[in-house]
Amino acid sequence: MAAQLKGARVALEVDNVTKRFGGLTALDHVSFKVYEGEILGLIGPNGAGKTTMFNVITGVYKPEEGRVIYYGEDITGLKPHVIARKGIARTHQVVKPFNELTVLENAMIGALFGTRHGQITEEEARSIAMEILEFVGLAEKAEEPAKVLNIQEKKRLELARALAEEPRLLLLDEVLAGLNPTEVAHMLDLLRKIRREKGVTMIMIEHVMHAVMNLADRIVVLHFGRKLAEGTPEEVARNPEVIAAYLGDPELALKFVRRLGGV
Amino acid sequence: MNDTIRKLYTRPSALIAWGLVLIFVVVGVLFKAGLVSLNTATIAMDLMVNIGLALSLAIIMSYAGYVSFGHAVFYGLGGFLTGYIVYNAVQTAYTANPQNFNLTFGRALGWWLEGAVLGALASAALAGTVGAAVLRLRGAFFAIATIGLDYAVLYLVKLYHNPLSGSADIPVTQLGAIEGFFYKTYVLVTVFFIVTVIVAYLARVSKFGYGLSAIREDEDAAEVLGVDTTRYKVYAFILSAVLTSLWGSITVWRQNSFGVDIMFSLRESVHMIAMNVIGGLGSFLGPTLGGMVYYALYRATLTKLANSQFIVVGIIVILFISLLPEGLVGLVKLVRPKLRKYID
Ligand SMILES: Nc1ncnc2c1ncn2[C@@H]1O[C@H](COP(=O)(O)OP(=O)(O)OP(=O)(O)O)[C@@H](O)[C@H]1O
Ligand SMILES: [Mg+2]
Repeated sequence: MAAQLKGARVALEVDNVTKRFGGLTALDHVSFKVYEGEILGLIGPNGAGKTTMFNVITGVYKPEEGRVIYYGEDITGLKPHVIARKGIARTHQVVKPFNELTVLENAMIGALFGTRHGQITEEEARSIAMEILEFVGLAEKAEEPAKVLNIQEKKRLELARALAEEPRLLLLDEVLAGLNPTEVAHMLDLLRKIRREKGVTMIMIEHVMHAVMNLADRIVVLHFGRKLAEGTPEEVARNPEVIAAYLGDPELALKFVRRLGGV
Repeated sequence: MNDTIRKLYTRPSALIAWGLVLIFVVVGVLFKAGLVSLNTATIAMDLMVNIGLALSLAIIMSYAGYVSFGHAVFYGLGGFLTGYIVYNAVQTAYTANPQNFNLTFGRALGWWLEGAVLGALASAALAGTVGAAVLRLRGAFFAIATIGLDYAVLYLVKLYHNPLSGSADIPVTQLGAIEGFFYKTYVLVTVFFIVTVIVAYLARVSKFGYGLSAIREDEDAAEVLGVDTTRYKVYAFILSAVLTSLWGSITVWRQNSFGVDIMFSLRESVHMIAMNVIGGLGSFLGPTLGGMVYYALYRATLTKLANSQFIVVGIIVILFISLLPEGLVGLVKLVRPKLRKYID
């Protein structure tokens, strides 16, 4: 994959980004690139700055230093809705469903205000939304208010809403967290299906190691706001610094790598 | 766009509103024919004003989730500017030619329109500036700031002294003497009720309405999803303020007077909020039902309880908030969950 990516376009470039909260430097001169079509894993211990990175990319926070370049365009400091319409969609670590609205309406809002904002009728938005709900397996809940969904359904809804925007770049913030092993397996199937059928470029933040190691083409490791390592899952799993700072047990790290062989 | 317009004559919630319009029109026609009493026609008109005000506030409070206690300001501004302009114009015309002074409905209505437009513009300007600033606040902070806005404008207007009335209050009693005033006013109120219904309904079921719902449910998620939350909130606030102001202009016209302490009073804001709460937040149907039921409560307690009626009304509002937080519409959803999808 890495070889194929050599020729691929750069979808997103994070260039020397620094984000501070008062005295705390949540992101410290971080740079990396995401190539079109790839899945980039973003990992690191709690508080490493992963979610903050998503917030900077999506315009929720403005970085003190550095730039975010999306398909050659500097999008640093643009408002979140402007960035969303350019094709960057995300899910939230802590799900944010529109509780009182139906599942279908949730997804429709993604379609109405996403990349096709202003060029789409309500009926078109409805059919796109319905299609996406089928895709993520929520179609039979379409008319239910979002508040009645369980946690894994809410995670799927986050995904559906983001996909309904028809994005080019999808940011996934711990879509597997809080799911039981069966649900994790289902979600992984879904993520593979997204990559296969939609061809969306993705960055995924994930603590479930075997999942990222499995899915991601490359991985960036953050630690205390700094980029600790970057490379293929294998390179990262063998990296002594990464093992010391995050993965802990070297045996465990090797297990991830071994599992990679089987996939 | 056409999809949205079509909802106006196909969706059940809209048809309920059209049913109400039909009833009000019939009452008007029967009144004209002498088959319905002045009292009944007055009740019909009061109902239109109450539902109209509830729907006006609903656009920002119920649709977008921003509870404004400041709407008495817009109600008062519409009332004040209309009262001022009509009064001055009437006085000037009278002084110019006291012998042949003849105030026709059409002539007075022209002045009213001037006042109503001026009030609407002033309200839009205030909502678009101060409102926009205040809309950066969320939840209780927003609500508190709007209370501040209410008091600030109330005391600012109180500084104005009408030389003839000796205070900021303005009597426009001449209006009442106009031939056929009551019936013509009934028509005016009905027309404006229809306008409010259409505007409030479209604001709910259009793409704009989807955006406002998203803002109400989770503003940050809405923004990240592509909703221009800042712009939508300000537009909703302006639209809501303008409608409220126009109802203020109508009230002064109907009642032939403007009272600063009455129209700018926080109590007016609380009425509008209570109607939305009783009806249920988040829909067009909620404030429509809420406006009716609230007015019914008000009427039912009016004669028996005189001034203490607001104690009873207050208790009922508390009961609604604690027992039925989703209001009458919530009750419908509870009893008949299948009806949910028909409630706009
Ligand atoms: N809005 C904020 N204000 C102040 N500090 C913040 C804010 N958001 C994040 N932080 C801090 O920045 C650091 C990075 O947080 P972030 O949420 O990005 O971590 P994370 O890598 O996503 O962690 P986790 O794996 O637990 O989700 C943390 O120390 C956090 O407390
Ligand atoms: Mg996080």
